Amino acid sequence: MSAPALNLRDLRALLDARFPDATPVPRRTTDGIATGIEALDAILPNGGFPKGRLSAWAPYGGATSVLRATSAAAALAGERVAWVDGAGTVPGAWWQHGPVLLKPTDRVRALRAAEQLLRSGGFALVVLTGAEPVGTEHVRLSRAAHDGGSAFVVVSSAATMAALKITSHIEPAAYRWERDPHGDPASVVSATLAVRVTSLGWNRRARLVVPVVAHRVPSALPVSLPDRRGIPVTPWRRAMLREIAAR
Amino acid sequence: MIACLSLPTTEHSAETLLPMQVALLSIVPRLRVEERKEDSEGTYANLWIDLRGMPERQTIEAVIALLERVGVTSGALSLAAVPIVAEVAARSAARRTMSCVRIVRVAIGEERAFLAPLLIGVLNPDPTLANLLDGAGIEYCRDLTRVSRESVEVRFGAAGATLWRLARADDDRHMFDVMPRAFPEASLAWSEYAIKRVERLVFVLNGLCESVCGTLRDSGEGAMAVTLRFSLANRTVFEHPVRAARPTSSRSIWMRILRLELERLTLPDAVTGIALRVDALGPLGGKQGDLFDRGFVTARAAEAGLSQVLDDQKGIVVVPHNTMHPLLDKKTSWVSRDAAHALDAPVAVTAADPVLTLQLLSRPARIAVTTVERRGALVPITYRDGPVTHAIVEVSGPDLVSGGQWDAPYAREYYRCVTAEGRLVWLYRDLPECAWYLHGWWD
Repeated sequence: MSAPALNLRDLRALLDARFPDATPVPRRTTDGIATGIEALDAILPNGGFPKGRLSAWAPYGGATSVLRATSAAAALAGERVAWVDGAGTVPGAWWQHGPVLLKPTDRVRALRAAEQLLRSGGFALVVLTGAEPVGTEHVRLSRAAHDGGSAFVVVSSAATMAALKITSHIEPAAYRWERDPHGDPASVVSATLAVRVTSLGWNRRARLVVPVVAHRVPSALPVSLPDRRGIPVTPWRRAMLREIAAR
Repeated sequence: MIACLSLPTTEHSAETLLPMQVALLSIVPRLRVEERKEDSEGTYANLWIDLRGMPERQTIEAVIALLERVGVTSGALSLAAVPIVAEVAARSAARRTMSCVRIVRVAIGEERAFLAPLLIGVLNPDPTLANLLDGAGIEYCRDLTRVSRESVEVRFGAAGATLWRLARADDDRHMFDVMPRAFPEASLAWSEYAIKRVERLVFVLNGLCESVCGTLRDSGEGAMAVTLRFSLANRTVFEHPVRAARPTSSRSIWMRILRLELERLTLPDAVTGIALRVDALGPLGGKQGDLFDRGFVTARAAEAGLSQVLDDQKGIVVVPHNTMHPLLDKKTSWVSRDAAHALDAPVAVTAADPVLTLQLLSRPARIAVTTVERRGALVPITYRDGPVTHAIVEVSGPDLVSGGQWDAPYAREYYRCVTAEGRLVWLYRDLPECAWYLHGWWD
């Protein structure tokens, strides 16, 4: 090996030792919060979301479901997890106790709450959804995560300042349906997520098959017997029924 | 220790006692006067002096010097930890003293032994009880203490049981009222000008807060509630209570809370003085943690962080309370948690595999939909949410839900649709309103 290459390797080792917080995530100088999903942990550089760093996961494509599973796994391991629901989209019916749930009233308050929790250093993982930071807000949040040492995952399409960038996507054909006797879709069984993790010098992909929660409307009736109780018969409705009958 | 100064009323009337009380209050902060106490051998005035927390020897010397100065020539001063012992000791000594003030001290732990050889009459039993005791052959205090309490209660009733306790030097009378505790406060007033700008008020408050929080830190306590008291230029006073989520003595936390409150506050006039008064205190210590809990070491940090968030945004930490309502948007009510309970360990946390679950819009978004008919139902094929039109490639439904006939009738047709971008969305048609809405998506 040539002398310059040796020097470069030594320099990298020295930088890793002296400034572990400044080195890229793939160097594995920080611990990670495991997601509890083997396929995903395998493609994350630290075997999980890096502590003291900002990770950005692009919205939709199953980001929330994976983060909820991660939160449950971390809480089960005895860590403290905070979930800041900036848009108020978390449904109470499926919320699993474990993480501390915060529901701020607007975006700025959500960002402020996340920053305060991150700076406290009392939470191993802080998840922020529904409130996308912009501009210098990224800097403030990543500094807060660095100060407190928490793993911070924001569900955001903007990945500025993020040490780890994750995108996931579900193709329309990647949903598996149960079909009714007519061959029409009846209920979704599962979906396949295509996850991509990128960082400085890191690019990994994985596919995850996740089930889809089947929400059954309690008083649903067959299409042939629509439940119309309580609906006043308006002229519009009468016309619509006539139109359907005529077809 | 408490001291009892027993003076015979033959030499000291209420008029002579009053200047003595005033003079004594210059030496001791707490004094109680019983102007007339009768026993079988005379009447006495008792002056009770609270010596707790004071240098005993110096205080007694000062009291004796004062008594000599005001011309008290007979009486006795006793020191004991139990009131009945102090009273009996002082009275007994006063009877034997004619030309000076005698001092008697009963050491802690020897009260019962002190009373034991004394006649039962020193405890001032009422005449009926005294006759009964005499009939039973109980002459000294030690005779009464040898009998069990149950036996005394059966034979001599409740008054006998009370006397039995006194004979054992068991006297739980509170000779001095509990003093209301003075909470820390700080104030500043100015007369040559009046302040209207919030920044200047914050500057003044910062100094007051430093003083109050310093006092709190010294006592190891935190303030839970404070009151801001503004003296206004129109000679009125404006008070504003402020609460924190958890007791704290941190100046930075209180300043942040007070600054927020000041920004929201509208005062009727300019300010000529501010007082910051603590209204409620609490211990600073956190809850006992579990040593096997990985988060134990960060428990206080987590609590402090959550308290800070709760101070900033009240009611932000919530847990769901689900009902049986068939509509998801009405099924859940969110219950606020305070900082003390926000970090309580959940009953059971179980590992969960990722599952695509519904994400609900807090308010369903109205959308424009194009439909086609499928087996008697109108199913959406595209929907427009704002400027963007989404093509739908797969649809299941409708799922029909209706009800609320007795209050607010509702009827909805729900559809699960996969868009061309690969999103699984939840649309519904509101039948009474004849409108389409995007209710949520699976993520």
